[in-house]
Amino acid sequence: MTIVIGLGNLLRADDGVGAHVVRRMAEELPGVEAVDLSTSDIGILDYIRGRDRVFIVDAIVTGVEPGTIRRLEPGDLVAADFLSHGLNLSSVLRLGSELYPDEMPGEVIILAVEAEDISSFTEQLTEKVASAVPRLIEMVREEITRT
Amino acid sequence: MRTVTIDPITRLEGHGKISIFLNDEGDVENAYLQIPELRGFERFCEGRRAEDMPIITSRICGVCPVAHHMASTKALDAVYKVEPTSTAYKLRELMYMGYIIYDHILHFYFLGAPDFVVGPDAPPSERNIFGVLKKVGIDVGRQVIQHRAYGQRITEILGGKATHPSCGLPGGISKGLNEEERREMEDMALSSVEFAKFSLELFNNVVLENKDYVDLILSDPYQLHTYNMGLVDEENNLNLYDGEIRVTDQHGDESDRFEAKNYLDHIQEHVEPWTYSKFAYLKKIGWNGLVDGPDSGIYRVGPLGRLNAAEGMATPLADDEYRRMFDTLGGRPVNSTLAFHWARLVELLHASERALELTTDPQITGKDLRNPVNEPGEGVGVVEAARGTLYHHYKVDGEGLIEKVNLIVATTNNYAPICMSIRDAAKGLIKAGHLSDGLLNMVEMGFRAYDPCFACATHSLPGRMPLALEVLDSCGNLLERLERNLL
Repeated sequence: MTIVIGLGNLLRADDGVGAHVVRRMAEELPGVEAVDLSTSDIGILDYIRGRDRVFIVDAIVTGVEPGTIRRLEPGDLVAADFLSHGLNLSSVLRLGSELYPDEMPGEVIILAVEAEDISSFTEQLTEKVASAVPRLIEMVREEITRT
Repeated sequence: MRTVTIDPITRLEGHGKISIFLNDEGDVENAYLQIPELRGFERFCEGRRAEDMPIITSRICGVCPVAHHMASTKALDAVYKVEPTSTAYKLRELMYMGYIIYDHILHFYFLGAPDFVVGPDAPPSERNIFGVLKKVGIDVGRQVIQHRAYGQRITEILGGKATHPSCGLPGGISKGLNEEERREMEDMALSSVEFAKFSLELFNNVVLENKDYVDLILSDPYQLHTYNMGLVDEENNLNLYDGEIRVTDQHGDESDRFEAKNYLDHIQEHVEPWTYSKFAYLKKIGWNGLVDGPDSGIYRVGPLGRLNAAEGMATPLADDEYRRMFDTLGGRPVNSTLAFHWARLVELLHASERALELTTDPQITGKDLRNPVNEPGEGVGVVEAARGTLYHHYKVDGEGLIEKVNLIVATTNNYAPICMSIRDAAKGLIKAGHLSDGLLNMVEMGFRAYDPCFACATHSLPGRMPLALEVLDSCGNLLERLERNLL
């Protein structure tokens, strides 16, 4: 079973791209479960345990062209070992593997969208990030139909 | 003067930065935590329908959406001059206990326990939740995740949504509880009481039986003699959801008491040019800079502030633990910042007990969920968020549209003490310009106890609260820069 999880703050412009994708999923891919988990961290575990495949859509700020989509896997995330009190996505996945090794999804795909503005209070995405939303949904569709 | 700054590594917005300023002798002159503010949030709210505010404000923060949702719902009660029905009041409180349960479990095991269970001197690669798991075992780890999920589930059954509740309405709540849901909640609350007792026992065995840790808790750098603030009921027992705001002084005596609607007569905010966030202080005492003592209007909120401001807990097991804590640490008030961790566990037990009481209350499955509203006006709502007192204040026009919004969040209330705790921890570790090893962690421990929350900013990969620390000399030259994702 597949689930699509949107992360980020819907009120802070491009940070809400995950939530925007989740909203569109209901129309575009009605058969696939999608949930907006906002700025959750450890709560993500409740939604991924027992799944075969998980897509996580989130904003990222690295300085490349806004709207750029990167397909990442957990191994691509910053290693958690430098965190003294970390609860980033990488830590959450590692924690899940330690506590529930038989329940973790076989595949976790992180779709990270380069954001342009994550500070303004608005529910609107910037143009470049808005144009990434249909591409993101297409990427999810392709991944699902390919396998 | 030299400065040390703790600054974010991956984010431009939504971060905190700690700067430590040194004097000509190379000793700590001052230390500041810079907090990003909710710039533009008030404007974002203006012109929106007042009844949308509980949903909008719950999205400010991914960590405490239920606290904002409830403060906002209570502000709407005041705006529309209506009291919730008795069942709705209890359902809101029950949901609120669910939130306190999951938030306090998360903070203690993920953020507090690494320093104590693994040890303050352990390397950062071990001083984290994985190090805690190694010590306490996988089964306890699963219990942590399970009970955190119970708290979350209690809020979801009533709130409706995974992370952002939508049940609060002026005068009531949108959804009641059926018998099946009530039974599920009762089982979860019962289990949470046992888990809270277990957590206090763990704290007792690991921390209180270790003399080094007790000495650390009682050591000078972690003492602050401020006023304390929290909501209390008529018997001066702590109340997380409702009541009057009580302020106690350095002797534990009541120095102020007021209703939420009068908060502006009692609390004022001080502005400093170097930070976006304001410093809250007691109006009648006044602002005398970042100092403690009876002549400084600085106060503390959050678990320790609340327990200090109250005289007991309204549930029996938590009340026993309340008394044990004060007996052990020398009586009320306890001024040790690190005692926030203990106070948090006492509150976890209280929230679990209170949830159990509410799930077995005959009115909890009642169908009378909402009272009719009146003409809108102005209103203030207050709750005890996990991190401290949270005020929402709205002015609404005759059409029910928002004219003005003012929020005082827990981290603003605790802002001055947090800066002072950082400064005092740094003072012991920086002498004549020499930075001791372990500086970052000792400073972290000082402010982590408060659990300052910047999550009302944003969340993008890879983490939730990156922070960095900088030391600057008396000419403003950067001497040292330490970086880490702190939360």
